Amino acid sequence: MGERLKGKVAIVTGAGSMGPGLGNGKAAAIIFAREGAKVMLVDINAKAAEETKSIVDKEGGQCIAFKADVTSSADCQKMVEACIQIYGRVDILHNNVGILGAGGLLDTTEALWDRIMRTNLTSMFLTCRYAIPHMLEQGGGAIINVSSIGGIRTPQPGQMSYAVSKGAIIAFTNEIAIEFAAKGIRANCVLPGLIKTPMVEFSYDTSAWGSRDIEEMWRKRDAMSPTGRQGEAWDIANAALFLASDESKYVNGVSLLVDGGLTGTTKIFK
Amino acid sequence: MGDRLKGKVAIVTGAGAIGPGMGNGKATAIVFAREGAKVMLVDINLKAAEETKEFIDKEGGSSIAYAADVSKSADVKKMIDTCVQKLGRLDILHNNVGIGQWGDVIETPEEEWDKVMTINVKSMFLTCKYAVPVMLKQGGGAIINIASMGAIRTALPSVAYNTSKAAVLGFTREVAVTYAAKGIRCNAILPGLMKTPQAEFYNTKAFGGDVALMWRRRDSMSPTGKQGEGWDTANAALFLASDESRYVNGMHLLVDGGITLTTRTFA
Repeated sequence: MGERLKGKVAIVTGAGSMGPGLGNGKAAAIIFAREGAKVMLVDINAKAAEETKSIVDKEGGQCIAFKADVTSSADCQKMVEACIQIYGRVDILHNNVGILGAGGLLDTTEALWDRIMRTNLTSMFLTCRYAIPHMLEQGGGAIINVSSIGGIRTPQPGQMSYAVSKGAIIAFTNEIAIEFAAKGIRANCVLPGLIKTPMVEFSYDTSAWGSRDIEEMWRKRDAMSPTGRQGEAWDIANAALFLASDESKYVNGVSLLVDGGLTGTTKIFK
Repeated sequence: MGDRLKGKVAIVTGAGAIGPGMGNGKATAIVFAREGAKVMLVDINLKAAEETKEFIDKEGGSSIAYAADVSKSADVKKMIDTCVQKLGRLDILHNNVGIGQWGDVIETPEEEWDKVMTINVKSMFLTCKYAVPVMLKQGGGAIINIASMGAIRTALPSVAYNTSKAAVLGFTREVAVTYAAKGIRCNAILPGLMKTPQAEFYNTKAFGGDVALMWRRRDSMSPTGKQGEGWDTANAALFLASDESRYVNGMHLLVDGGITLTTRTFA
C-alpha cells in the first residue's frame, strides 16, 4: 500500500461499475484506497458498490459502501453527513457519476436532456453544496469532476446532451476553483478520451459505430486513438490520484485530458 | 525513496538553479531521483548542475552532472550520446531550459527575439531530434516540455517570451501526435506564478529591487493567495514522466492555482 493519500477521506460517486470489468469510478476508488485513503463508495446500485468494496477489502484497504442517488438533494446531504459521521471528515470529493445518451438536437427529447443534465451536472452541484462547507471548516479539500473530451470536441456527433453536460462541468469546476481557491479547496476536471469501460460497453448502441459487434466497436475506438489503443479506467484513476493528492497542491481549475492525444488532432477529410 | 520511476533514465535540462533556492528544473531532478530514476543533470553552468547533484547524492539518489548548451546542435547530440553511453538508455526527456524576457513588440530588439526563440523553442526541437530516435529504438519514452501560463495569457507584455512559450505548446502537440503510436508521449507543463530563483531574477527590477514586495505582490495575484513553488512543477512532471500517465499525451498541464481562469480586473 502507498501513502499518497494517507489520512485522507474520499467520497467517490459512481464507485460501482455497470457490468463486469473496471469502470472509471471503481478504479479510482481502488487506487485511492491503495494510497491510504478511507473511501466512501457511493453508487445508486448498492450491489455494484459492494463489489468494489470486496476488491478494496481483499487488498486491505478501508472503505464503506453507500447507496445514494446523487441527483437527489436529500441523498447528497445524507451521503455527506454519513461520511462525516463515519470517517469524521471529507478531504476528497470525486464526482464520477455520469450517463450517456444518444441523440442530436432534433432527436433528443426534452426528457432525455433534463435527465442527462440532472445526472451529469446537477449532481455535482449538489454534492459540492453539501461537501464544501465541511471542507471549509477543515481548511481545505480536493474536488475532482469527471468531464469528457466530449465537453470540448465532437468526436462522434449525436451525443448532444451528454456533450453539453460535460462542457458545463468544466465551467462549473472553474467556478468552484476560483470561488474557494483562497480557502484551500481545489477543483479540477479530468477529461477522459476513448476509454474501454463497462459503461461504454453497456450504454452505447454499438450500431452508432457502424456495427452491432462490440469487438468491432472496440477496434474502431482503438484505431481512432493516436496511440493505437483506447485508455483504461486505471488511466483515469491515476490522473484522479494526482489531482486528489497534495502533489497537485498548486493545480486548480485545470481540465486534465487523458485521451492519448486525440484532442490534438482533427478529422482528416479524404 | 519511492519507485515510481524505478529503472528509468531521465535527462533534465536546466537542472541547476540560477541562484539560491529551488528552481523548477532542480526540484524536478530531485523528485525524479527520489522516485528511482537515474538522472542526467544538464546545465549550461556545470557548477549549478553539480549543486543539484550534491543534493541528490545526499539523499542517496543516482545522477550525473553534465554541461551543455541545449541551443547548440553539437552539444545536444553529445548530451544524448553521453546519456545512452553512461546510463544505458533514455526514458524521460524533461525540457526545462528557458529564459525570460520583458518588452512589447516595438521595444524588443530583433536579437532578443532570436535569442529567446532559440533558447526556449529551438532547444526543445534539438533535444527531441536526438532523443526521439533513441526512444523509438527502445519502444517508448516520455517527453515533458516546460511552457508557461504566458503561452495562453498576457499579464505584462513579454512578446518574445510569451510567443516562445505558445510555440512550445504547438511543438508538444506535433511530437505527441506524431509518435503516439510508437509509445512516445509528449506533454507540456504551464507553470503560473512560481517562487523560483528565475522568477526572482526576472521580476525584482520592476519592484525597485524589493524582493519581498515582489513576492507579496505575486502571492496576492494568485487566486490561492500564494505562488506555487518548484516542487509543484516537479510533482506535475513526475506524474507526466511516470507510467501513471501512460494515456496522457499532447496535454497542457497548468500548474497555476487557477490564475488563467481569471482576467484582469479593470479599476
